[in-house]
Amino acid sequence: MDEVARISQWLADSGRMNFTFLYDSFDRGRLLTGIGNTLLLSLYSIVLSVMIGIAGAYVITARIPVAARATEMLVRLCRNSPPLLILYLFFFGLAAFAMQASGGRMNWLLGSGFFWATIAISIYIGAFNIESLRAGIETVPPSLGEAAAALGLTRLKTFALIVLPLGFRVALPSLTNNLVELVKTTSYGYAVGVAEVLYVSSQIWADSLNVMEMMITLFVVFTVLVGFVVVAMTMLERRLRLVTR
Amino acid sequence: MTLTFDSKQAGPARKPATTFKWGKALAPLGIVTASTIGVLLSARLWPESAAILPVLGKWTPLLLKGFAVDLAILSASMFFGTVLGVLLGLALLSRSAFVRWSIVPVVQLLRNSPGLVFLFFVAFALPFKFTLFGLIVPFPGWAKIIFSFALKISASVAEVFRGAVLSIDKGQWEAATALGLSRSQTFKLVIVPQCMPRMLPPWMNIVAIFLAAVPLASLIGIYDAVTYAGLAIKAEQRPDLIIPIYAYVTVWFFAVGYALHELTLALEKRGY
Repeated sequence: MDEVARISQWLADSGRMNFTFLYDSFDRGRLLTGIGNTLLLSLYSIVLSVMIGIAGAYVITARIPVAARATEMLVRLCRNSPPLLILYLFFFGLAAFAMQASGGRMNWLLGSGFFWATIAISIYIGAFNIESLRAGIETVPPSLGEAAAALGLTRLKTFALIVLPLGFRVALPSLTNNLVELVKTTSYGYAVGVAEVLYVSSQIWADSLNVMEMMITLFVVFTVLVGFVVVAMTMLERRLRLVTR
Repeated sequence: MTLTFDSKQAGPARKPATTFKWGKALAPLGIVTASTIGVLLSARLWPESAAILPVLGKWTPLLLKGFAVDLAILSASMFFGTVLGVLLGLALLSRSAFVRWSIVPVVQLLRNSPGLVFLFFVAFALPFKFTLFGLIVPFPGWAKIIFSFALKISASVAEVFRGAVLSIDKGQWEAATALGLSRSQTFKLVIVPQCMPRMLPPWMNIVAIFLAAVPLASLIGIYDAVTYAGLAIKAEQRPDLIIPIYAYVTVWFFAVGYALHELTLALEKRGY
């Protein structure tokens, strides 16, 4: 670590590249916090958005009377509106209502940009997940569902045990695309003051005027994150591959 | 056996009957336009009222001006992005491996970086003005956002163009060579005209994607619809207006994006 610090200090002194976070522990702490927040935001949103996707796909494919129409409308709305505006609607609009409704007891949660960014990103990407999973589930032959019904499984059990596991495998590649998009969308958290990696980078370059260096860092961070998602999803895909004769 | 089996084998020349409902695609656009006019009228009728609709109507001209800025940024960056994208696509298809492999990382970096990070890169890492042949050329915010969007769009267009060219039957190339056309002539006269209809649906998809990304302009200080919406909320000092104003602007974006989306689906169904 000392070597890295010395080399980066020399780079900065000679006026080439000023990676402040390599030799300055304060900047390093900020950057690591930012990366941690981006990771947490991505992780929570991935879990929540996949859950939204599964629930929505169930509601649509089971043709539950009103809820199916409502979910379809939500999907259309989310797919065609700017994510920034959705985030603003949640953070500036809904947050005030929620805080009033809870009587100020939940402000630590309802007042935080992190919470609303998680919700907004999850719903926005969740809409795309619903579409992917619905398309995957539609490739499952209906005779399988009928066979499950004949065996006495309930509708929910048929979905959870028979249809979803098969449809999920088909939907995996397009789900991967959505989750990569999700990781990239976490940078929108900047707009509502979430201390994620773009936000802390902008603070660091405001102090040290090393915009170019921080930009390179950002590109590296996001490339690594996206790489993680792609590798994890490919491994999952391989793990879940059906053995066919 | 029904006749469907036969009709499936009729070959690619048969065009399936289109049952595209223009009404379905354009209905949200019509409803939104009508209600915007209604909101404007309500501001005319009750100019002193403090209800939500007249207040929205009061701000509508300003918000529409911002929305026009959004659409102008989108069309300008689509124009430059498409031109640059076709050039990049040609480079991706180049016969020289050196050209191909020097372009691939550029396209991948542009496609896979988060839009907001790339926008910040262009906005803050590039100078506000630069000197060209002793002439000082300013590089203001609106030019930067068009520049950054055009670059991101060009990478997507390049991939679409490359895919479209590769999807053209090999026989076309061979036939063109047999006729004595050079490579550039084959491109211009044979391949690209056939690519155009194939590129149209994915190209419109790109328009829809970047329509949803244009509000990012507000983050680097462009006065677009979202900025004006924020200013209107600040000026009114009424928390109950936050949701209506943002929803009002969202609905405009939604109507345009939805129409584009439906048109794309219709074009795809027609077998382009």
